[in-house]
Amino acid sequence: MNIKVLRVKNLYVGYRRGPVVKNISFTVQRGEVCALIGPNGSGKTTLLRSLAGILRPLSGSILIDERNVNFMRDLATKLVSYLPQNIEGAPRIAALEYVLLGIAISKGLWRVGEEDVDVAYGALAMLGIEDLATKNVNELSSGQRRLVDIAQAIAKKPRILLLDEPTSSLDVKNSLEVLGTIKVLTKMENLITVISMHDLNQVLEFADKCIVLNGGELVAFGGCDEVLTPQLIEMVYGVSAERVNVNGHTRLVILKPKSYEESACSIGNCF
Amino acid sequence: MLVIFSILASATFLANICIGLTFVSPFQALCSVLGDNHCVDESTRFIVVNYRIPVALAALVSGAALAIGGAAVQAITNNPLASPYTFGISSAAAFGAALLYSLNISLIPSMYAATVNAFLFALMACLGVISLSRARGLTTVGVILAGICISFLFQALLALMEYLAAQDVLQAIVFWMFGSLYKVTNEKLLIVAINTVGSILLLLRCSWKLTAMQLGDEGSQALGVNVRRMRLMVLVVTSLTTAVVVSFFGIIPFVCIAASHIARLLVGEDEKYLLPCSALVGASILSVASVVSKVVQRGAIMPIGIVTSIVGVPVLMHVILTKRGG
Repeated sequence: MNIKVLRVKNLYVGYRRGPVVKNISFTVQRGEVCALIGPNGSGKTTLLRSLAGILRPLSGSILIDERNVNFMRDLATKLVSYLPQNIEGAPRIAALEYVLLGIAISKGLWRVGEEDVDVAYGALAMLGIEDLATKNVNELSSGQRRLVDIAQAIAKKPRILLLDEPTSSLDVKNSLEVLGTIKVLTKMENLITVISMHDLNQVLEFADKCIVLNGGELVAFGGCDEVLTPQLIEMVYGVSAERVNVNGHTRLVILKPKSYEESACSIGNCF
Repeated sequence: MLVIFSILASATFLANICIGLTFVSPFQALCSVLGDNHCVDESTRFIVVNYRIPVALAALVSGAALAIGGAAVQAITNNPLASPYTFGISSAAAFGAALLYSLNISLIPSMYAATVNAFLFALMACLGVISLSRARGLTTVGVILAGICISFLFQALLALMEYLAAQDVLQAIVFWMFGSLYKVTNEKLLIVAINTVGSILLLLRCSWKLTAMQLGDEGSQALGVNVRRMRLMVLVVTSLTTAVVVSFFGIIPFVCIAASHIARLLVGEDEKYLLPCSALVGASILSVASVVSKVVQRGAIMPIGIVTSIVGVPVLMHVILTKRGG
């Protein structure tokens, strides 16, 4: 099933204490990588959980090709692949079997065939970790485990890919390679990809669009180059930033936050 | 591994038929089953067909039922110490039987009044755990806390019954609580077998989802598992299966936890292998325990509930010490 657009309209999502994400609206087209950014606690994970169908919206709607996700929940779980920020357990099963889990759950025990195993192996190979296929998941390092988690999300062959800080435990090289692979995959397969990220330079490099959240509200939405201005970064994160040009690429240089300098001065360590 | 466990379960099943107060050779056992009177005398055939085979089959199916219940409950609670017994099913069943013996209260009067009482109270325990844990959103902690509450409630009620009971009644209650496969009848065997096979097939069908549940609620939901629905389904299936075994044969401890742990150490945590292997290990443990119960005390049969721990603990300790979870 080919999906053209993911549309979020006036969405409120939250828990018992009230809404965490308030009145959010945006649209992501197929073939686009959309970065979800904002300070800690700004509602990124809550929004992603809601898009994944795990958290029911308090009000508003999530539309896949103009059809409400709430009315096609089972279909949505097949179309959407969601990688949470933290996965608690590490079962003692081989990485290949672990990647296969995502495919198998929607199919059932007796319907998993050789072609599914090939798809799972292909996902590992795409991330360059096919040598981990026979290793037990509980014996992997946190970075290797994260790569296997990403392979699991990709192997499901989703139409919408939702990733919550996928590169949080990866080194620089692996981070860049993984984001590059996700971008290529999004373009090649015409996916809709939403990634929660913290590294603003990686956002500029890999994302087509940016959703900026602050205090659960949408602060800005649009192309990353236009959205990520020093003024917006100062307003959202409370840090100063400068845009510089490195070999034709726009990069952000983050300066020390004012609060840091003030607190350093207060204990007699002014820089 | 599945083949090895199947051979082990078959061997222990055969040993359970052959070994007893008198030894019956496998050939004589086969003749008895085939009804060939030339190679086996009538009394041996009677013993094999009416006692040895039903008890051996009861050991197989009950062991498998208890073991698969343990493995599935450990998967949905992400807790290696959980089992259907954690939900107070055994103490509730014992309380049901005690109620009949001490106060002559029978929920449905019949010739199997103690069994029926035990089953109905075990079901009440299941319903209590499910209702309480639903109130807490069927979370892992909610299920375990609900189980502990119900378990303590029925333990206290059972203790009260024992405290109030006369000496001879107390003896009857204690004897009922000792698990014994010699309470088996053809009807009971058929019910337990259907129940066991049904629950094994149902749980196997969900084995991928049960494996995913080891990733915690968030991880398994991300893979498309409806966590609440799975927990409810497994609670209902395992509680019913265990309730049937406990009410028919009394309390048989240790198999629930030991079998799944032994299987886990040998085949890993992929539930599509773990569930059938646990069932086969459980069947083997109970068959071996049944054999030991017949030979440990000359001229008498020891209650199997006492033997399971004595047989199972050294096996589990050996597996833990030699395998170390690698």
